[in-house]
Amino acid sequence: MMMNRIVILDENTSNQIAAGEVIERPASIVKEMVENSIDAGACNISIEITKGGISLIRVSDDGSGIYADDVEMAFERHGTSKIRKADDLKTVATMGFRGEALPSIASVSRLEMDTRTQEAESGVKIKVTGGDIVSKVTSNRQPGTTITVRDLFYNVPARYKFLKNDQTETRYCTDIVTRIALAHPEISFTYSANKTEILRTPGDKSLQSAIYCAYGREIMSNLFPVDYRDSLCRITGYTGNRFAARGNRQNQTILVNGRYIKDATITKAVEKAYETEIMKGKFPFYVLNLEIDAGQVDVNVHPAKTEVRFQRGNEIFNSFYSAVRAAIDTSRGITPAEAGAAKIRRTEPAREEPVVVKSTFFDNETKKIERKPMPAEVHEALVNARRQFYDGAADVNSNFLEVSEEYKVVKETSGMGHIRVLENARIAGVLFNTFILLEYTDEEMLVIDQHAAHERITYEGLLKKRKERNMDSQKLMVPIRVRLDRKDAVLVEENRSMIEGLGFDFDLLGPDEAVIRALPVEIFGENVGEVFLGLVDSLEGSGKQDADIIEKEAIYQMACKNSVKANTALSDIEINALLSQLKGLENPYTCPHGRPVILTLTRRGLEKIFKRIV
Amino acid sequence: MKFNCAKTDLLEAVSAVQRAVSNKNIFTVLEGILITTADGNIVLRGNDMEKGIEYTIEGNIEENGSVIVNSRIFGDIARKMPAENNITVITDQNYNVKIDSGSIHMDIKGMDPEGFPAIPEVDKENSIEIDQEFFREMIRQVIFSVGNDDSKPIFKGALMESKENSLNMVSLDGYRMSIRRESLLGTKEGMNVVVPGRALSEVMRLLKNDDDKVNIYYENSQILFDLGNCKLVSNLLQGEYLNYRSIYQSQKFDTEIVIDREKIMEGIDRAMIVITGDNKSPVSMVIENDEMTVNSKTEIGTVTEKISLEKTGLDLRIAFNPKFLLDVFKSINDERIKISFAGSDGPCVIEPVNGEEFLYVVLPVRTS
Ligand SMILES: Nc1ncnc2c1ncn2[C@@H]1O[C@H](COP(=O)(O)OP(=O)(O)OP(=O)(O)O)[C@@H](O)[C@H]1O
Ligand SMILES: [Mg+2]
Repeated sequence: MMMNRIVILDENTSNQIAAGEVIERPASIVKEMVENSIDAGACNISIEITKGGISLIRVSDDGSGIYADDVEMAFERHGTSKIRKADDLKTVATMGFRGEALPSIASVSRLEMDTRTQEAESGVKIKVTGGDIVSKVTSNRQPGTTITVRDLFYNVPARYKFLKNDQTETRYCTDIVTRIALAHPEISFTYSANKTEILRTPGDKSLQSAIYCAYGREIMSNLFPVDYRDSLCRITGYTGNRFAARGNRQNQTILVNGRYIKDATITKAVEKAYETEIMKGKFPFYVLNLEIDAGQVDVNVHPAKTEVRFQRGNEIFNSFYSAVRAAIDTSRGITPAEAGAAKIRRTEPAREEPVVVKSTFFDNETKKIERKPMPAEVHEALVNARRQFYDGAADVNSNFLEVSEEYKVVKETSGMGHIRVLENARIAGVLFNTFILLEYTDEEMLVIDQHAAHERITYEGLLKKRKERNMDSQKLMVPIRVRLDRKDAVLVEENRSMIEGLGFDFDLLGPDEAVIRALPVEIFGENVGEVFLGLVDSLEGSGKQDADIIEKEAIYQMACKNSVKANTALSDIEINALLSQLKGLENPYTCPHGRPVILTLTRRGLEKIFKRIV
Repeated sequence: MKFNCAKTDLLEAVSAVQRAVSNKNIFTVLEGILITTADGNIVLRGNDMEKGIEYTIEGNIEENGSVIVNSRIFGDIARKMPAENNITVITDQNYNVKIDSGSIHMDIKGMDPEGFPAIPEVDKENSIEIDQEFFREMIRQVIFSVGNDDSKPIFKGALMESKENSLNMVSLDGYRMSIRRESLLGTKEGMNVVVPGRALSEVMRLLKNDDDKVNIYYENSQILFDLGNCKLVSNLLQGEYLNYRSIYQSQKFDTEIVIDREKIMEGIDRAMIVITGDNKSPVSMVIENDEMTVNSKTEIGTVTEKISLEKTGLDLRIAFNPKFLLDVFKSINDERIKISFAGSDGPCVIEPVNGEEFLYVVLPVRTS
C-alpha cells in the first residue's frame, strides 16, 4: 500500500484543478477569452466555435496584444497584468484580475495564441498543449490577439463526459456572447457557430442597437427606457412591457459596471416592481446596467466571476425597484397598453399573405374614441386577491400538510380519502366564480380551486394520450410562421422528435424562423403561435432536465391553454362533472406546478376562527 | 322633429340598424341610433365604426329634424309598444324625445345628432347586381369557414371576386376552405375584395328570400350592399388574399368516392355522440372497396358505422375533425356528393356530383 504522504502538486495538476472551477464548459472559455479581449481594449471582437466549442473556439481581437517577452507569463498561474496587489482588488475595473483563466484553459486543451502589440515589429505565435508550451515562433499578425482552443478536455475524460451535446453547448455559448454583447454596445461583436453567423452587433455605443441585434425587431416596440440615479448608483437600460414577458427568466440581463452577473436581490427587486403589471408565471424582459463605485461591490466571490456581493444590498434592492417602477410609470403616460398586440407579437401570417389590416373606415372620427380601462384600483384588488390566495397556499404547501389548525391542504399522502367520496359531498356554492365549496361531512368542508382542478384534469388527460401514442395532429391549410430567437431555433431542432410527438409538424426556415404545418388537435382554436412559443419557453426553462420532464412541462403548457379560465361561472351539472373527473385522476391534489387543488376546513377550525372555542 | 309611423315598420328598422350598433361601451354616440327625416322619409342609422346600416321607412312627417337615441332603450320601446297603434315621435331643441302610442306616453333623453359619425359614401362606378335569394345562399355556403384568428386578419373576411362571367366567394380559416361560384352573365370583371365575415352575416340576415335584387358597390376600402330600403356599408379588409386555387389544383387525387350526402352526414353526427365536451378526438374513416367505415373512439365509448359508396382508385384510411365535415354537409343541398382524397395526409376535396357551384377543401388529422 502506498503511504499517504503530503506533496505539493505539480503545476499542471493544480491548473487542472483550478480549471475545474473556472472552466466548466466551452461557454466558460468563450466568456474568459472575450473578457480578456475587452480588457485589452478591443473595438472589434470575433468569436467562432465549431461543434458547440468542443472541437474549436477562436476569439480574435484588435486589442493591445501581449509583449513577446510576456507571452509565457500569461500561461503562468496568477500571471496577470491587471492587478499588482490585493488592495487593487477593491477597485478592480477590468473583467479579469485573477490570472487564472488562460493557464486553466491551456491545461485542458490544445491552445494556440497569436499576438502582437502595436509597437512590435512582428507577432508571436505560441502553442500550448495540455499546459506545456510546445513551440514559439514569430508571426505576421496585425496588432491584436487571436486565441484558438481545440479539443477541450481531451486529456480529462472525466470532464469530457459531462459535456452536453453540441447544440446544447452551442446554446450556452450563444447565450454568454449575447449577454456580453449587451454589456458592451461600444464593441462590435461577430459570432458564428459552425460557420453560420449568429450575432453581429455594430459597436455604435447604443444599447438599443445591441438589443435589436440580439432579440430582433419585434421586441423594440415593447421596451421602455430606464434611467435612474440616486446617491449610491445609476441604473440605465431597457425593460419590457407585458407583451415582452416570457415564461422563464432567460431574457433578463443584469450588468454591474459592464459585467454580466446573476443576482437574486436584483432579480427580486425588478420582479417586485412588475408585480401588478404582468401575469403570474411570466417574467419581465430587461437589460439593466448598474453603475456603482467599484469599492461598493466585491466581484471576487466566485472563480467564474458571475456573482457579486454588494456592500449595501438593501439599498441596491430599493434602487432597482425605484428605477424600474419609475420607468413603468412614465411609460404608462406615453404608450397606452394595446390589447391584441400580444397576440401578433411574434406570430406572423404565412408568407403567402403579406397582410396588414388597417381600418381605413371613418378615419377622422376614430380619433375621438377613448378606451375606458378598468379602474386601476379594481384591477389591483383583483390581482391581489388572486395572488394572495396562491402565494398563501403555495407557502402552505411547502410546509407540508399542517398549515394552521384551521385549514389544511389536501395532499396525496394525507390519506384522507376525500376524493373517493366527493360525490357524496353537497355543493354548498361557488365563491367568486372560482372556488367551489363542498360540505363534505358534518365536520368538514372542502374548497376546490376550479381552475387548478381543470388544469390538472386536462393535463392528466393529455399525458395519458401521449403515453398511448403520438398526439393527433391537424394539418394546416395555411402554414403559420413563428419568429424565434436564434437560441430557441437550436433548442427546437434539438427537441424535434418530442415536439412532433406532441402533434406539431414544423420546419425551420432560417436561423430565427419556424413554420408550423400541423398542430395538436388539443390546442385547436388557440393562438397556435403563442402555444408553440410557450412550448419553446418551457424547453428553455427546463434546462438540463431529462426528456420526460421537459415533455411533461410542454404538455402542461398545452393544458393551461386548454383549461377553463378562472372566473367562468359553472352550473351544478358542470361542477358535478368536474368532481367526477377529479376523482378519476392519478393526483387530484395539486396542479402540475404544485399549487394545491383542494383545501379542507373543519367545523372546529371555523369555530376557532369565530372564537367559539379556543 | 315630428313624425308618425307604423309600429311594425319602426320595429323592423330599429332591429336592423341595431346590428350595427356597438355594445362595447366605448363612446356614447356609438351606442345610439341616429333618426333623421328627409324627403318625406324616416331614416334610421347605426354605426359601429366597422360597418354602418341605414334603414328607410315611410311615415307622416310633420317637422323635419334629427336626434340620437339610445339603441337599447329605443329598441325596447319599439318592441313593447302595442302593434295595432302608430307611434309618434317628437323632439325639442334640447333633444328631449317624446314617444306616443295611443294612451301610452314616454319621455326619454336624446343626444345632439352632430356627433354621429357619418356612414361613408361609396362610389357607384363599380357594381354588381344579383338576386337577393342567390346572394343569401352564397353567403350561407361560405360563412361557416370564415376565420376567426386575430393573427391572420385577412381570413376574418371572405373573398369576393368576379371573373369569367361569374361571381366567386371564398372563405378559409386555415384548416378548410369553401368556394362558391355563381354564374352571372354580363358581370363586370375585376372585383377582388375581402369583406369582413361579420358584415357578411349581417347582410345575410337582411337579405330576403325573394327575387328582389341586391346592388353591390365597391371601391378600395369600402363596400355597399344596397337592398333598396336598407343599405349596409362595411370597410374592406386590406391585404392580399391567398392564391386559393393553388391549394387543390396541383394535387394528385388517388381516391375518389361518390356517396349519399345525408348518409355520411348522419354517420358523422352519430360518431360524434361519444365526442363530448372539450374532447377533440377526430373521426376516422376507412375506405375499402365499396364501403366506408366511420369510426370514433373516446373514453366514453366507440361508434362504428358502415356506409356504402362508389369508389375509384385506392383504398384509404384517413381521419378528420368531424365538425369540419358536418359543417359542409349541412351547407350543401345535393343528394350525392363526390369526395376526392390525396392520400391520408393531403387535402380532401368535397363537391356536389353535378355542377361547379361549390367546392370545399379540408385538411385531415394525422393519427398514429
Ligand atoms: N486577448 C488578449 N489581449 C491582450 N492581453 C491578453 C489577452 N488575453 C490575455 N491577455 C493577458 O494575459 C493575462 C492572463 O490572462 P488571464 O485571463 O489568465 O488572467 P486575467 O484576465 O488577468 O484574470 P482572470 O483569471 O480573472 O481572467 C492577462 O492579464 C493579460 O495581460
Ligand atoms: Mg481573463
